Amino acid sequence: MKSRILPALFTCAFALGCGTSVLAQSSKVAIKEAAKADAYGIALVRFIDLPGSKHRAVVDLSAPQDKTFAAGSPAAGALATSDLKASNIIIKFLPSGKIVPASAINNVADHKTAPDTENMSGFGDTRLQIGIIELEDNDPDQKDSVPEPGDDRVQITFGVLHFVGVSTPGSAATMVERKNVSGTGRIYNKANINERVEETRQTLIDAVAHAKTDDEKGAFVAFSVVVPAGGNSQGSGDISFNRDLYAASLAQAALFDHVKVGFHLNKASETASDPRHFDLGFTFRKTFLRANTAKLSEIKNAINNGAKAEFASDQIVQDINDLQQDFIRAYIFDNALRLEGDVSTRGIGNVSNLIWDAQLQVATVSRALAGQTGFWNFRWVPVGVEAGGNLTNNDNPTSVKGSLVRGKTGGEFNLIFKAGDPNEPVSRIQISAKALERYLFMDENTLDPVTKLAVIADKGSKYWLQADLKIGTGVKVGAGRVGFRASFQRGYLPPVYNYVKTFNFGVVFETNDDDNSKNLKLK
Amino acid sequence: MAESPSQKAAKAVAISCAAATTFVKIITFKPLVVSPKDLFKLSFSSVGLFSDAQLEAFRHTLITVAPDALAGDIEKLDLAPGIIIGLVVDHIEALLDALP
Repeated sequence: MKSRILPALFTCAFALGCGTSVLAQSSKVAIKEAAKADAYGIALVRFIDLPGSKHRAVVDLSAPQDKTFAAGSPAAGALATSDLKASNIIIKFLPSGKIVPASAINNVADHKTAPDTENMSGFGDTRLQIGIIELEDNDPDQKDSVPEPGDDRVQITFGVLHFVGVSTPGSAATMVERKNVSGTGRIYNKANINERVEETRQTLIDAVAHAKTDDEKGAFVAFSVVVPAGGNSQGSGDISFNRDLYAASLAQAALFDHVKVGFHLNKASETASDPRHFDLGFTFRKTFLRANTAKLSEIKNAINNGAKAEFASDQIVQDINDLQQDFIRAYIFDNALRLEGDVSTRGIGNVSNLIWDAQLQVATVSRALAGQTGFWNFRWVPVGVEAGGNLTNNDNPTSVKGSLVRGKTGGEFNLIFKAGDPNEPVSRIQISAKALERYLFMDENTLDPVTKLAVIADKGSKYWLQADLKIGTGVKVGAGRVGFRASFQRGYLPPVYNYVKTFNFGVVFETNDDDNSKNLKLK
Repeated sequence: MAESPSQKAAKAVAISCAAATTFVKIITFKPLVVSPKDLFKLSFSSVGLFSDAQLEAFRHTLITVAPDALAGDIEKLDLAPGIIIGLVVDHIEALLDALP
């Protein structure tokens, strides 16, 4: 009987995993499409045929451009030898074959209407923007600078493009020159720009469905051994699943701005290491941002209306630095309705409670370690209240199904170190520690350590401590990397408060599916 | 001086990340230069945003610094620690392009 519960729950988890793997597959199709591009070429092109500062082409390269050749205007460097000079770029609308005149390609810094032509920061030197000038109606080149009504694609060709080559150990990266580098993509205009909105929205949805949290990932790929205090080695599982159900528009967000659904299972096969905890429910969330509103307003104005001077630009950087000095970034108020269950040989509902759970969370700013080798952060639950009632107790059917009220406080600390090179023998170290103190104001069902039945009524302090150490290595096996995980758990979890004191260690296999950056190249 | 939706989206997302983690630095605002230089190709968790509470802080900063007309769409954004930040940049850029 004991052996039936875990397989059933893991089957359930596997089914959820299949759901994500289907999406992972569609992502892999996109990756294969992108892989067709030359290692040094163009991965994606789009042309936005909208007026003013929206009039531009965006080009994603499949390798970083050599920034020596990335000047988009004389003010940005040597334009004469740049890959981004107008005479090096041919923009052809298809199917008409019309070519945008060089005079419409912006090589002027701070043009009054056209966006800059540049290699955009933040994309690892792989995203180029080509600003297109809206020519006056009386300009002889004007007609050729806009697509024909039937044109839906654009072909962009660079006479020459300079890339950063792959570096080898002990030697610097070399420059790679490619001639006549070409790519084709869609034209977006007023009539179809909403299709682009939908494409990017769907890409995000797919990516979220595919991205697995650490807890979820552990359920699918970790092989753990649990050593309970004084006991034999056993298996265990700790699974979390959370998804957004609903997000209110701001006008509706008076009481909450998000509704989430989720479950959490913490189960082991040996009594001394088994928290026997399962919960399932909805969370109504309201977030309050804590930041200097005057500075945020200044930043907003600078982004959307433009910082006109170097002084203004420096001021914005200073404002952002000031924002980072605050340790607390947001207060989050959660109201949840949850069903707590005892995961035992008699099923999830052997002992069950229905709980209203209200808690305040404090979100802090992550702090970088020296040299940006990692970061640490802290999440704090200063106060929370759990109130509700017992629904079932099959271990003791004659017991009174009474009310329950608990107070709680806790926190979580995370420290992550990352080596610069993922192939280093130790590529990542993650240490996390969680502590939660529950205080039971009224008697609740707790486990009798002798009979293993929830027949004792108890109240008072019920703590939970957990520490995890994860070490990622550069050792590749197939499509993933091998890591190690060790964790320590001690204390009590509802609904039966079995005392747990375990040391858990295992091998973790992290798949490369975690990288959804290729979704950036979805058309 | 005219900045495109691509540039505005990159600035709004980079600043919202920087407001939630000091791992992200805004070196210069105009032109935008950020650290890490491949910020938009990294996941949120890679820069220190790996709890839903931190992602909510990111989301609400983004709502504050983006044009008001985008607030409802940003509120409904799907976010998770494992997704690549550039996907959010692309979506914000598309929303800005679609504004009248």
